[in-house]
Amino acid sequence: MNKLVEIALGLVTGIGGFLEAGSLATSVQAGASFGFQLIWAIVLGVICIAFLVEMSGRLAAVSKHTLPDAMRERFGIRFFSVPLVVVVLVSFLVLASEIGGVSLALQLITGIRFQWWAPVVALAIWLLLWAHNFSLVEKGASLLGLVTIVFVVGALKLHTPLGEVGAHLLPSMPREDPAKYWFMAVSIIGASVSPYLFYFYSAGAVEDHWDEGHLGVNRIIAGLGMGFGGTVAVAALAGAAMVFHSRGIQIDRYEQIPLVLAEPLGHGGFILFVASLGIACFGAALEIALQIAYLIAQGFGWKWGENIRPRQAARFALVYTVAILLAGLLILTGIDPLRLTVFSMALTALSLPVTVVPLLIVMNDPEYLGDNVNHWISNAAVLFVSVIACVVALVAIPLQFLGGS
Amino acid sequence: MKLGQALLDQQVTDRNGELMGKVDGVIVELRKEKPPRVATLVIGGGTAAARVHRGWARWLLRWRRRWGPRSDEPLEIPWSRVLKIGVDVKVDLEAERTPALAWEHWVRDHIIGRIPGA
Amino acid sequence: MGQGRGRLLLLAITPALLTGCHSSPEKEQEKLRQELTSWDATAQLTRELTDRGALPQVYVRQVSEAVEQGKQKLQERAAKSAP
Repeated sequence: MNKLVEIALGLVTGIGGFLEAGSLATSVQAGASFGFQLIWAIVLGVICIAFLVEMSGRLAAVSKHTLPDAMRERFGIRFFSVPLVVVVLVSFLVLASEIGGVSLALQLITGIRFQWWAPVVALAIWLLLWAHNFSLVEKGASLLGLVTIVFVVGALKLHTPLGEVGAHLLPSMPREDPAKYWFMAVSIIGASVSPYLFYFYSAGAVEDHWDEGHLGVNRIIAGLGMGFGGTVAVAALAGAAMVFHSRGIQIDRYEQIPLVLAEPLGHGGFILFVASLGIACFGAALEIALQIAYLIAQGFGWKWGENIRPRQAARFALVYTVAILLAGLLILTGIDPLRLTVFSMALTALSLPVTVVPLLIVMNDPEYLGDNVNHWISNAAVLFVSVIACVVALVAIPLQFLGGS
Repeated sequence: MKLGQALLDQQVTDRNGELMGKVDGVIVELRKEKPPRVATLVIGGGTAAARVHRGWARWLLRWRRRWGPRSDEPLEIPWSRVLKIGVDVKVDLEAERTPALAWEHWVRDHIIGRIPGA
Repeated sequence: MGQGRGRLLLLAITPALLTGCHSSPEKEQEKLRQELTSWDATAQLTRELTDRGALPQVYVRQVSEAVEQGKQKLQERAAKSAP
């Protein structure tokens, strides 16, 4: 019975937690600019993250190490410091993007500019972590996150041609504006394959004392959770294709996005959009802040845990406090949250090999995994997506900047 | 030597299972006509930083002397204190009584502990 | 993944991307036209939905402001690229 509950919870988290600021912004922008063409990028990203999350869980269950712990051990402090710094920096930008997302949700319903909400949002996030009962908060956020299913409802209400969706599950070349196309493709992949997802997952598995008996559950959660979550992202893209692409609307401001649900679902759609944006970004922000603290604490052997008093894990608490503070300040400066979000996603894609290759090496090390080392398919799938995403990002990001967008 | 390498960067726990830090350094004893052996495990004091980059480590140490606990010396654990090597390295000490947690306590007393609700 | 293969891929993609991004004045004009269409269509859609009662006033104001600001930036860019 317990295992079923775990699966259910895992699935709920996977579905509800998938469409945060990054996935939302990139999916909607892609749908608006290229119709259904970029669905394959979501598919590729989902396959990659499903494999990565499964690996992260398997590592925790078999070796009883969290990912940062194992990485430091396996590579030594010198090499570990590289993925450490990269992931912390990228995660920080994503954290700021999520705070931006919540702040924008609040702006949409109150009219008060998003930057003034940033300190409030940051404080709320910090308070919930400070209250050191994250397991409860996490379950709550996951359940509430299911509101994002409204995107699927919206896409269906718009009579999204499923044939079109199917036709674009496989990659295709752009018909126009290739620089923008590839930039959006890598941003989508970066949004799906967020390091915080699989780093965070291993910490949870260790805290829940997973063992080899959990391997099956792990596979189901990873596969179905990410799969269903990806469906929500595809629905957001499809909605944008139906509502925006047909009208020649491109998405340059967050303020345009609620229209994607208001069109099919009226006033209720607008409200649910705001709720989705706020809740999903808030949940993601909590996780990312914790993940940054985990990464540093576990990498240095400090005490850590989501349910311990701050006094008892002081350095750990300090890290998430500083992270949230700085991220909040960044949004307070009034930086364009949409641009920040999309840029962080592209940066995530660019940094994928650095964050993913160490995990792959550990996952193929029998010292950690025993008989449960990676199947060659897992290795191939993840490596393929990461390297391609990085290489394309390397070219597409500067071009996007030169293009002046 | 291999043992030394294997020990480096492992998680260290005290006799009660409390997390103490990572093995930041290992002091190996060279003996005449006998294979070298691990004499001491070192935790903290900028040892790990020195392995990343000597220059940055020096800068870091200067900064650490400005703030933080008065005694920033690394903790040296003699081999005799090592109880078990498994997922972690368990040592026969009490974390709270060692300098391994000096920074943890400093942060707790000067920063985190001052915020209500800690 | 070897360095060589990475570089080959780069060489293969770059020309495709570059030709697509060549900013001739016609392309720039076309871009500006597309963006103007985008803002106008956004305003149009917002009006339609407001008439249907789907959007609260506080939000409609924000979209209008965003459209204004967007068009303003377009004017500035058009002025810069005009002969």
